Amino acid sequence: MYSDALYVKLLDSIAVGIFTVNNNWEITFFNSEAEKITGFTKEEAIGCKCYEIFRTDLCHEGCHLKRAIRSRTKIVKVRNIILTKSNKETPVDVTVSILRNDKGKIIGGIESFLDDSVRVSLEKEIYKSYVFDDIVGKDEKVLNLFEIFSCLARTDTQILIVGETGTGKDIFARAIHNMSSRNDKPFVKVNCAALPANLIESELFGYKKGAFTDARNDKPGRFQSAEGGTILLDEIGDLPIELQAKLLQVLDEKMFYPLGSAKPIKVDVRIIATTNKDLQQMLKSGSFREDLYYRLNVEEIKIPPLRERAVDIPLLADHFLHQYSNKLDKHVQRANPGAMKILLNYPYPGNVRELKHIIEHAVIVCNGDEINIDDLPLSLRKKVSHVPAHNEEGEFLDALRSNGWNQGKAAKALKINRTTLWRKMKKYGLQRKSVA
Amino acid sequence: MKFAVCCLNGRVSPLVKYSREVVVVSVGRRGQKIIKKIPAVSLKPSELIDLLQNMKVGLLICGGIKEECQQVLRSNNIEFIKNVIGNIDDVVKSCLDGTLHADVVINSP
Repeated sequence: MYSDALYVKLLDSIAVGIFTVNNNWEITFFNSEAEKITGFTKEEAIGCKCYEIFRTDLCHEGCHLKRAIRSRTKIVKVRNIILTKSNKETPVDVTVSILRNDKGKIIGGIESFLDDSVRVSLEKEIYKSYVFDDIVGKDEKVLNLFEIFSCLARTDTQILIVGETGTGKDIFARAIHNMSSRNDKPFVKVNCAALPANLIESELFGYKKGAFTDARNDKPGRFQSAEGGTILLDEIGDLPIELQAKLLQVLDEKMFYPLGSAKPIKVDVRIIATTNKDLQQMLKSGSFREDLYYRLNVEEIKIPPLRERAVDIPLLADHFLHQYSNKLDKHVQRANPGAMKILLNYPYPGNVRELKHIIEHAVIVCNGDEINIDDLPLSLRKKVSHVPAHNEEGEFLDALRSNGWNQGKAAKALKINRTTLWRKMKKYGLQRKSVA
Repeated sequence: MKFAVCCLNGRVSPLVKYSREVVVVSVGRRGQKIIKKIPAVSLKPSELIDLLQNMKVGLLICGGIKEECQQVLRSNNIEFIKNVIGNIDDVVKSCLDGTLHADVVINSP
C-alpha cells in the first residue's frame, strides 16, 4: 500500500491538473499541474472556494462538478474556460467525478483538467477555412462556392444567385460586395417581392418633382443610392414585366430616366439578382423577359439547400449556438448527441434560416450549458420522431448524412470498413437522392 | 478617498460579473469610515463601472478581471487591485491600512 505522501507525489507527477473539493466547494487538494495551469500555488488555492480560483463563466450557472454531484455521474471531457491568476482566459478540457468516503457517503468532488489552448487555437484556424465573410460551411459544394465567389468578387460581372428560400442568397450577395473593390461604397438591397407594383418604379429609379400628384420634391431612387456600390435585387422573379425593360436599359446603358424626367441619370452600380423561382419556366410562360434573363445571368450561382449539405448542420448549429449564446448572455456550449441527431434528421424546408430559428429557440429555452432534446421546438421533435434513430438503418443514415454522404468518412465514423458500409447501403436502399 | 469592493456572499467576488453587491467605502474628514452597500445583482460589468464613476469611486478591489473589463476601468480612470481573495471585512481593513495589494489571498473562508 502507498502512504498518503506517496499518493500526493504520484498525483503531483501527473501532467494533468487535479483538484478536489469538499461539500462546501472548498479546495482540499491541488496538484502541481493545477498550479502550473492556473498560476495559483497550493498554499493559495487550498481552503479557497473552487470558483474563487477557477473563475469560469460556468461557475455559477452550469458548474460541471455541481452537475456530477447532483446526478451522481461522471462527466467526461467537457470544455470550459478558466481565468488564470494572470487574468488570461485559458480553455481547459475537464473530467469530473464525485468523491465518496469508505462508507459510500459523498464527501465532495474531484476534477481533472488539461490546458486545451493548443487544440482550441488549431480548431479556430480550421474553422476560419470554413468561413467566407458571414457564411459558414464545409460541404464540398459550399467550399466550391467560396472559391467561385472569391473570383467573382474581383470582377464587375452581373450575378444571378438562385436557391430555395432561406438558403442565404442575400448573405452570399453581401459577401461578394464585401470582398469586392466596391466595399467602401453602399450595398443597397431591394426586395422586389415586398414592394407594391405601383411603387416599385419610383423606389428603384426615383422621381422628379411634379411627376405625380404627391411628388412635391425630387426623390432619388435606390439605383442612385447605390452609386459606386452594389444593388441587390432580391426576388427578381417578382419584378413586374413592364419594369423589366427599364432594368434592361440600366444593365445595357448604365443609365435610366427617373419618373417624370426627360434627362437620363448615369449610374455605376453592380447588380446582383437573386430568386427562388424557376426563371427558365417563367421565360417559357412569358412572365420573365428572355433578354433580361441572359443579361443578368452572366454568372448563375446555385446555393444548395441545407438538406443537400447536411455535413454543415453541426457546424451551422454550433455557429448559431455561440451567436445566440453571446447575444442572450447565456453559457450554452453545445447540443447534446440526442438533440444533434434530431437536427441532423430534419429536412429543413426553410433551410439555414429555419435552422437558425430552431437554435435561437433552443438557446432561449436551455437552462444549462447543453441543448437537450426538450429544448428543441415541439413541432420539430414531432416531425422527426418517425425517423429511425436507434436501429441500424438510422445509424447508417445519420453517419452518411453527417459526413456529407462521403462513404469513406462515414465508414470511419461507424468504425467499419467501406465494403460493409456499401453492403448495408444496398440492403437498406440508402442513396443520397432517395432520402434527400 | 473612496474605494469599492465587488462582493459575493461576504467575500470578494471571483469575477466582476458575479458581484451581488458592491461595498463602497469612504473616509470622512474626521477619519471615520462610511460604508454603503449597493445591490449589483442585475448589473452588467459596464453598468457597474458607470455606477462607480458616478459615485466618484477611484479604486475597485476585485477578484479575477477580464481584459475588456480592465480596459473599461482604465478608460474611466478607475484604478483596480485584482486577484484579491478573502472576506470583505478583512479586505476593507487591509485596504484602509494601506497594506492591500494585487494577487493576494487574505484568508480562506
